[in-house]
Amino acid sequence: MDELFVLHLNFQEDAPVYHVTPAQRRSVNQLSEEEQIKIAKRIGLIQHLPTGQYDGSKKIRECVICMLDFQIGDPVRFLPCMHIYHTKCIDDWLMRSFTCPSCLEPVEAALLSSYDDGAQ
Amino acid sequence: MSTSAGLPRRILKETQRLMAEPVAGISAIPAEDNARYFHVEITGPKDSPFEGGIFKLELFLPEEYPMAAPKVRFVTKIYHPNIDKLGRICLDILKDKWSPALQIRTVLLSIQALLSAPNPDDPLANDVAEQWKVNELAAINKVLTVLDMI
Repeated sequence: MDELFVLHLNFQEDAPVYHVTPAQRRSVNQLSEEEQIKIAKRIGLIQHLPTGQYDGSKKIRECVICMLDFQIGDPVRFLPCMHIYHTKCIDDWLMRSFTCPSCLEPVEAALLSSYDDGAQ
Repeated sequence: MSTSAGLPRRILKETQRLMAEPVAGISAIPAEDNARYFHVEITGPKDSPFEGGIFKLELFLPEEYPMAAPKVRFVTKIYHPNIDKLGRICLDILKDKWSPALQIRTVLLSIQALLSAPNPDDPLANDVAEQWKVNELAAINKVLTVLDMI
């Protein structure tokens, strides 16, 4: 939890800044209760997505968010659609929009359907 | 502080690629004093009403880019249902359909495509869209008038 929290700190301001929508920046002390719940849920969902270290075995060579080549050992996060990104890069995006940047698939729906598949 | 200090590697990489492998009909050159501000020129696509025109645009990469979309505006006056008098563009990927997997290159290609295929059903300039739907030929004539070609 701490790591995610720090990630979204805006160092120019005292209070952490969140994005209610990708275009709406809001200081933590200006969030409504509803927005706080939404953000807390989102943080929880993001943490359910598997992470690992880049091992070079995937076809994907570049993190399309920072456009840097993955290096062996880089912390990465795996989305249900099988796209991978640097953990730091994708977490920043997922806090704004819960979609895969590459295929635009909503992550939540994919998560739920993968749970369903697991149950069958 | 030099202009590239603190500039994300991604912006440098995109700029280098834009220079090394330019897109046909599109040029994007960073301003000398601001690496986040680009002078853009798009040539009117072939077989579109805008063929023969050269359109200047400005593109700015906000602090949050690529988490937030670039800001793009037509500087050259254009008669188009999805572009208003101030040059603002109605294009979903510049707003709610932005994704950090998109790049300056893909944004400019989408704008070029918007010139090839104006969409009067999702207008920004209502009067233009109306004209486009009622009498496309007259609308295209207006395009040419604004372009100063007739």
